[in-house]
Amino acid sequence: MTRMEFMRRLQRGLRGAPREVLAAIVLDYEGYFDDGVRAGRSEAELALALGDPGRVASELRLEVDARQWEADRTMAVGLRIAAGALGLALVDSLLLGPLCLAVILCAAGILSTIALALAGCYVLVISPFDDPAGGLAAAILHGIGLIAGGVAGAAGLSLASTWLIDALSWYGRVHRRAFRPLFLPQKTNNSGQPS
Amino acid sequence: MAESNEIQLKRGVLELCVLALLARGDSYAYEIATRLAAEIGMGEGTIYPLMRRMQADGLLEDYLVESSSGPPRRYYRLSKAGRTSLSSQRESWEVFSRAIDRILKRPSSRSRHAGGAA
Repeated sequence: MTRMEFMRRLQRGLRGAPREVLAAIVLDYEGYFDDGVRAGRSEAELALALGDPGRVASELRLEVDARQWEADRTMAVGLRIAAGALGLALVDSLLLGPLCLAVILCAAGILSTIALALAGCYVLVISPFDDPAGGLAAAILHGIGLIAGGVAGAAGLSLASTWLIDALSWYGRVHRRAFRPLFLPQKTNNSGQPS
Repeated sequence: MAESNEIQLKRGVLELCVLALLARGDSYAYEIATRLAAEIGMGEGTIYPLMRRMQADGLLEDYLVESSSGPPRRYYRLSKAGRTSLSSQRESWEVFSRAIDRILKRPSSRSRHAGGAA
């Protein structure tokens, strides 16, 4: 990503922030690129070190809005904070929704493979007494086939759901480490000064 | 898991590190960011929002310095509140790290214990 591209996406993510705040943030990151280039690094390398501009913008955005809310508890600011949080939640649900759905499908799949295996047991045990259409051997093979299919399906699906849950827990960790430090201002800042 | 823990640990002391670096002398964000990236492996992008927050909290003050090779540079220095915060955070850190060191110390004292009991 070029410097221009980074700054453009950063500013797009911060649209609607107070003008002087936006200007200060833009100055910060322009300064970062200026200093980095002066130190002999490429713009692409510098942009890479900063990470995804959309992500940087939404973190800054929530910080900015939270400060404004502390100073000025108006409806407009409150709504913007709610919209920002919802926007992040939406991004998350777009990512997490399909993952959760896949986990649920896997669970349902495992249940149905178990049912398949039980059906196989039923065919295997009951059919010899029931005068099966294709003969005794065919009924027994039918039962064994159903059981084997059920067990194989359950094994495959539980492997898949292990991967899915790994993915969910990875996402949870990344998410938490991206957000916690910015969201929780440290108490020592304000209350740690007794004198 | 280990990687995530390490990042949480670094995040926790990042503010203390910024305060300590600025206590040695005024500096600008790029210098602090690259320094902390090199020494404790923190992403350079994380320093800018942090310093902005610290400034808004009144821990840092900024001023512009004209530069011969480009636009003016924003320097930061510690405010009075920043110095107070540094000394209280430094003290917390020292108490905490001494306690952790004691807990982590290899049990070389066990042989002494066993000798005393025998």
